[in-house]
Amino acid sequence: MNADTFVACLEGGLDYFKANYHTIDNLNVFPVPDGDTGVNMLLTLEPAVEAIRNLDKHDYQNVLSILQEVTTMNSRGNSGFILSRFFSGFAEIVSQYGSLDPEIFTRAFSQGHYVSKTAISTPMNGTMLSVFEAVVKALSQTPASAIPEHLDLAARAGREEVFRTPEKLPVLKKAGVVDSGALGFVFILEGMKRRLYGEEIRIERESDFRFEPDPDSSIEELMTISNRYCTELTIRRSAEVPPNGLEDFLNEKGDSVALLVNEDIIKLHVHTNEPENVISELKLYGEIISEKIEDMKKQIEEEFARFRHENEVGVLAIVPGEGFRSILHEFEPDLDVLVYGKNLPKTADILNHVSQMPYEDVIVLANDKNIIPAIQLVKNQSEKHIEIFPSRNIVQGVAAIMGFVKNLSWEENLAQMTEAMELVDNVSVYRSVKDSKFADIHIPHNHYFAVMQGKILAVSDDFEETVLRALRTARPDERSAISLYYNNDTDEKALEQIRETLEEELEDVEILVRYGGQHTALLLIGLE
Amino acid sequence: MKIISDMTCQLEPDRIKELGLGVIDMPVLMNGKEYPQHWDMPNWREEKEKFIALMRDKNNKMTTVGVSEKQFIDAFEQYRDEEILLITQALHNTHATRDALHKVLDEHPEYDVKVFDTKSLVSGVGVQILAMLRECNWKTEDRETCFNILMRNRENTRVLGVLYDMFYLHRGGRVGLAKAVMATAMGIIPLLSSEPASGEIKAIGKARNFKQACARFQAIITAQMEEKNSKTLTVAMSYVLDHDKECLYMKQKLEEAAEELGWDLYVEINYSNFAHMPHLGPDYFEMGYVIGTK
Repeated sequence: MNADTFVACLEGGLDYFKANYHTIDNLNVFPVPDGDTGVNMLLTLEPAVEAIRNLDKHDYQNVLSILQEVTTMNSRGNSGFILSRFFSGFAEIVSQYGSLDPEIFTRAFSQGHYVSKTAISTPMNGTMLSVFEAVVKALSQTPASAIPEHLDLAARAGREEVFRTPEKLPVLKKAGVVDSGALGFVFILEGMKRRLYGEEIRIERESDFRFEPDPDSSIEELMTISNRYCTELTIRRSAEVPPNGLEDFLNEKGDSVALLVNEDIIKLHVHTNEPENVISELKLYGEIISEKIEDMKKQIEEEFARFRHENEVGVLAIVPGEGFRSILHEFEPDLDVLVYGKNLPKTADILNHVSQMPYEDVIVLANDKNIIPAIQLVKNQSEKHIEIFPSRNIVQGVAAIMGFVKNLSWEENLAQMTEAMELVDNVSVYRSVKDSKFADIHIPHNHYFAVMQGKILAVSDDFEETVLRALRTARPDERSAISLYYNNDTDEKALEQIRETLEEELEDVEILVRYGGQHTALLLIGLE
Repeated sequence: MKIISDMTCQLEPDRIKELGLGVIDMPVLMNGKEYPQHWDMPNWREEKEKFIALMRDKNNKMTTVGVSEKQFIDAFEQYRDEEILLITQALHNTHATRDALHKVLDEHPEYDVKVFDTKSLVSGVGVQILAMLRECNWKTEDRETCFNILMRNRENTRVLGVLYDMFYLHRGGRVGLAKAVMATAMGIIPLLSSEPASGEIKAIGKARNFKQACARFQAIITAQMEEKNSKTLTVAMSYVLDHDKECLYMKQKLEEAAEELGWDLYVEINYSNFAHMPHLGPDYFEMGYVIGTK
């Protein structure tokens, strides 16, 4: 195989991986379930392939030298580090020969395995290392006449080994997944092979790499980590490193230690609770040219929250009374509800509520036109994708929730919620606190009045009469259900009488009486 | 020409005979053994209700299996000397059914079969046949004309329905869909939909009662009729047990809308066939409709 073909293979590996790296992220539970294995491997490999692609001429010396250097300098995370060490070892052997045939390929693979395994202080089975080992074994046992066959064999042997990783690493079995890094490497091999055979990229199905989790496991257990900060440093070396001295220090300060020391640089990856002490120690050996410290606990929490609600849309309903919480939850138990009383909710309350919701897409039901400006401010300030659902009152809000389905997209949900909302009319019944005039209608003090779409339907000094008169003008017999939402001031005896009268008059209409707890209207009526 | 469909078409035996259709049975299993049923069995209503009663015992596991090669051959053999138009959802059915059909078509060139994939489920199959029959008389038109009408109507076909018990859908493997609508209070019913573009059943919301469900369905249909600037609507509904009351209510709402909006409406209501019951459960009604765009 000439260098140009080798480069094409690498490009194929990268392209295949890029098309599938989200799957790798989603499967990531070991060593830390922070959902970034795919990204880390991509960021390790992509710059190297890009640099190689930009070379004027492809010869093995140039290509391999860039592959070694750039993957080393850009390696990220455990998997990225192991991947960079593999390519480094692989490149060492191919550089010696200046060409690639099946035999050299096998030796190079073996060296890649050796270098990566010895670069980390606690090599674990059931990871990418196991895939390297299985591939080396398969290649050694099967003589091949050409590189394509060898790559095909490597991809197949690697894939088989991926499915054995849960048996070797209990945490994978508990989570019901294969090892993400191991699979990521197989995707690279698959892409390399496919490029050689002229086959198209395939989008891998995540579900193919998931199985029933061990029933004894718990999310909390998987979320437990002993060393919180993922610390990665690159040091331009200016001092001698004592044999094992640095490694011992790092193992004392944390775990998942991966260390590369060569003539020019020291490259380090460690999970530790004392990143500052690690940095201070490493400064003794040279100038720090790059550092990255990530809080894995936070990443894990975010990842699990995201995982639990992936592809789901959250809804926050702002409601004018406690009773509406349970009414809405009957339709959608996972709904978030913000209850307010006499005063409308503040922007900060809504923002705080939205930010605590474990969804990236949130639909906020205003349920009052006066709340919409506050939600608009929240939309501007929040990093989440917020859609304002302009329900003008809670009756419309309840109807809209009937159109909500949590695993549909927000676009589909908005369309369905609008459709559902349009099927309801609402009547509000109040008691006047002073003599007043609305349009041409006089409303005396302490009288009841019913309003529908800005129009007074009935005024009376009797609550029951006001409600019934209002309803009789609103085509009640054409409705499927009439919902009466009362508050603490509603006359319950009168309400019961209203229910009985409606049930007698409207045989085919379902009459529902529920406590809403709203502050202003004595009765909110949904005509559905 | 002979038109053949399968048992998923949701038409009753008398209607099938009246239309002169051929029908391929779909096997139904109870606890792993084939359950004796046939599209044209005597006392079919009582037999279906007996099956539903057995299904209510959730220890009994009802399933369907694919149509065999032999069933396809037997059906085609009856019309060996005629052109056959097979109108089926089989291509969207199990792999076994699809493979069996392809094998028969490949290995038996003596049967002159043209296959139309409805890409719709339940009444979405029957309604496409009915919509075609509104446009042409298949006994006098050529097969290509019928096929072209079917093709035109297919993309304008949709299915809407209500399943009162999501257990059966859940057990049938549609876990995500069932979960999306199951965890709600008693008495709240999920509304479902299926379109040929995806072929998948999806939840479109909930309702307090069947009248609300019908109101949503009618709103959806009206909006689509307006969007497609159509005045022609063909509807086929199916039900089990006494859920014909929902269908009759829906029919009445559609007729009112048709009168108000000047639609040319055709509605037919049929008792559901055996083949759907294991998946949909013992309580449901559903409707397929075609919005005419000629």
